[in-house]
Amino acid sequence: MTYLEALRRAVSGTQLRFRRNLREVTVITIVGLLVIPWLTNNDFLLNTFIFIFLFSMLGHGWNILGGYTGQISLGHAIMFAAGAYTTAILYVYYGVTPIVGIWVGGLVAVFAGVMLGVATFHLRYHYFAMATLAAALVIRVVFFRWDWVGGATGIEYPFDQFATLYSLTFRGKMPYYYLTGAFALGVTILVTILDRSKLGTYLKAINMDEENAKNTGLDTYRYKMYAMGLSSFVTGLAGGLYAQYTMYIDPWSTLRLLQNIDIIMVAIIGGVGTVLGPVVGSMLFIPVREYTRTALGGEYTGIDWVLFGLVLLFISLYRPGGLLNRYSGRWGKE
Amino acid sequence: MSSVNQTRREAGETPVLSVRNMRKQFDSVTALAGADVEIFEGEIVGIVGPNGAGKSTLFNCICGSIAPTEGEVYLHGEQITGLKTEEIIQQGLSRTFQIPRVFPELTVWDNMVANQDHAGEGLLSTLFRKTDDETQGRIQELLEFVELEPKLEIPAGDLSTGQQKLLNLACTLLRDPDVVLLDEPTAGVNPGLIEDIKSIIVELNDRGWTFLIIEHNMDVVRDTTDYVYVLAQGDNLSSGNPAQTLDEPEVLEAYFGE
Amino acid sequence: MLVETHLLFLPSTQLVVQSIVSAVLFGMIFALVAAGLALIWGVADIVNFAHGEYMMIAMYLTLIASNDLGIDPLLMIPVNATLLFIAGYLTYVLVISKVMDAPMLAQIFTTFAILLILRYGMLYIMGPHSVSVDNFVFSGHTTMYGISLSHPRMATAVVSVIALVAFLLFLKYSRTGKAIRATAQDWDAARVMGIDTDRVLAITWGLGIAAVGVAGTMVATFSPIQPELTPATWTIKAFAAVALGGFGSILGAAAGGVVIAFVEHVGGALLNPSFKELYVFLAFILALIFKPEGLLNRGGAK
Repeated sequence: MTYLEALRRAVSGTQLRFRRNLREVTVITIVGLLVIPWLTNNDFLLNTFIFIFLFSMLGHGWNILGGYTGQISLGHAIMFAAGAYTTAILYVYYGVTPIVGIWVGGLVAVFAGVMLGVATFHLRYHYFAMATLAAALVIRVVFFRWDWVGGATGIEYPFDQFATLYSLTFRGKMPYYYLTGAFALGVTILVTILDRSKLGTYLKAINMDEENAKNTGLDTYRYKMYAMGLSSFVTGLAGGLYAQYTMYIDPWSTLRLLQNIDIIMVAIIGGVGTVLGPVVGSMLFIPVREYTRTALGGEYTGIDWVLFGLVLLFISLYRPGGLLNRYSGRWGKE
Repeated sequence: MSSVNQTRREAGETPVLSVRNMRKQFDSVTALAGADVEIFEGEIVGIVGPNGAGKSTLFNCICGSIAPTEGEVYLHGEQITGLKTEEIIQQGLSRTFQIPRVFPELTVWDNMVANQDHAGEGLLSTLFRKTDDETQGRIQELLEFVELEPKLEIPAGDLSTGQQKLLNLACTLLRDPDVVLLDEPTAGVNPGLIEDIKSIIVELNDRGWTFLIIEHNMDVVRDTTDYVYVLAQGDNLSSGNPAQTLDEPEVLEAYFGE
Repeated sequence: MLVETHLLFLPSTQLVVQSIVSAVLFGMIFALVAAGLALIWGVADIVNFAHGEYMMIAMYLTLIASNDLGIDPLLMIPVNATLLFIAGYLTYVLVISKVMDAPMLAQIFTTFAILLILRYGMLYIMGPHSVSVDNFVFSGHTTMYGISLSHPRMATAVVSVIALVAFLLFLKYSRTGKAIRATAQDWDAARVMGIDTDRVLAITWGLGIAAVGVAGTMVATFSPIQPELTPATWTIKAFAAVALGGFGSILGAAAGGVVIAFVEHVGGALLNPSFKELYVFLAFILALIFKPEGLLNRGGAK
């Protein structure tokens, strides 16, 4: 029996039915998404979708480390900022096209993530979470006062080379839509591959029982590093794309505490450790966020965050795994 | 049970696994006080002793889950004391736990996949290449052997205790280890299954596998093991042929006189 | 490269002494706040990410009492202590008790959710502006040998010490305190002994939040309140203190609080002061990375 057949058998009856429908739903969704920019000129709508795509990537990225491997990081903003700043610096200071710069940003993010991992992976869950949070704060303070990265004023893209392919900036929202959409699709495919691969199985095993995973001969540290690497790379790519879209980055937008939470929210809401979780989560979270931001008096009133707090609370109490995660009962409890 | 095994030991060949002067101190509790154990290839060796004798601690020290206070462990004559668990496992040991330990949310199949030989695996190979056909074949074979084959797609957490123990056993064998350490393989298992487990161990031993077994069930020890070590209070009390050793007065005293 | 790169000033003795004084005063306050956090952590094994937010609530209550009702902050101490005790108690009963057995992910996000609700609720109610208390019976400062001693800060420090001592004595000698310590050491054994662990946990939360409430009441007398900045700062410093002192050890956390105060103020005086926060964060990370058991290895008066 080949592995594929075993895999097919490995999917239980109800899930198989879901997956058959899922295939159709996915195709319809992708076709629908491809067509949307041609059907509407509504900038607000396109902007929302762009953020949905970006946050799908961010959610996927965090999920690889947090959902699959069980290392709950509260400092992913570091990798996000690494990607964003690298892309921006390479272009604005050195004229390197972001077509290359984004990927370099991803690699720099990997470097940052691996460093973070080396320093903190030996810590148990709570402490790991706190250490990553503290690290993100340290980086933020440093960036605020570091002239070379623009300090508190950040980096702004020059307008003279605007709207060229080389600069990867565009006049309308549509090209950004397709750009971020393509990346989001790519990352989703990557996570799908991960979910069904040996690596995915190993990471899930490490999440469930790390000690037992060691007893299978798995070098859990190394595999956690792999997860951290993939996770950081994806997060860094999203950062680079974000820089290209907003054409302005600073420590406040990339590194503030809530940035870390934003990243996590989509994975939490949609389903930790699942492939579609971040996608579903961002489709729910982002439109609501954008809406409350403008409709409820902007983000300065704070009511939108109160709402998200309540949502987060509800999820934590009653469905800690998120919407799509079946395993909300027994889980990686230390 | 086979005389071949006794000859190897008597011939003074190098033991495949040997433990020398194993000591472990937990604050004020002395778990191990200088235990010595030797296992020769092809044997089934039993470790028995009253509760608190340090048997599980011995396994933990051998496998690197706990760092011994003193003492050495040798596998094929090479020292493995102090190595990390995963390294020791890769060198050729495999162990089970008293309370079966599976990956509950993974299917039976995936539990086996997680237990394959990990030598030479890297980021790209584990991400893009599936488990190779040969390994898949062996997984299939082993699961059929322990009669878990119909349960391939079931999450391991849904299995009964006995079935989980069988899964653990199959998992340990997948890597073709040099020594299989079983921690009370029949504990908590219903009597019918105990007989199955006994015959499985004997059959595997006939096929060439070496076992080190901690057991409380004396029938199992008498019927399966070639050699037995009796531990009490962290140290060797007696050792030898199970039929004779288990009837020694000191051994009986240790068990019933406590 | 960095703004104001010179790291080491050669400050005057006066500046150093001034910073030491600040460190001591703030150390007392940090110790109280950290003790509250450590109590909850040690007994319930829950990290309260919303610690600073409760403190902020006490600060706002004091503000309203003082500016709108003319009630002196000192009078608010027992009021806030009670109110925040109730708040902590209710938090446990209504929310935390439901996640005690949940995966750790759920626990982290529960307190984080509370953080969001409280912080942004206050932002919504009170507005984003920085506000401060106008009247306080101990306002002003004295100058001794060129060192400025702010009266509100000294009063706060004194109150903090009294509160901390009361806190520790309560835990050590009272029946409830002993029940708390028993539960912290061994849950099941405590239950067997007939202790209602659920109630103990609720009281623990109440006490921990009350402690931070007392601190907040007094801190409001000299520190302006801004809903997004203030709670975060205090929470992080409390975490850093607990990390240094050893998770679960209350005395250790208190000691850690003093150390953090010194790192911030004396570090800020000797090294570049614009990086004050950074020194605290770095100390925090280093403590986490290198000594997760904390500097005080043995458990304190739990």
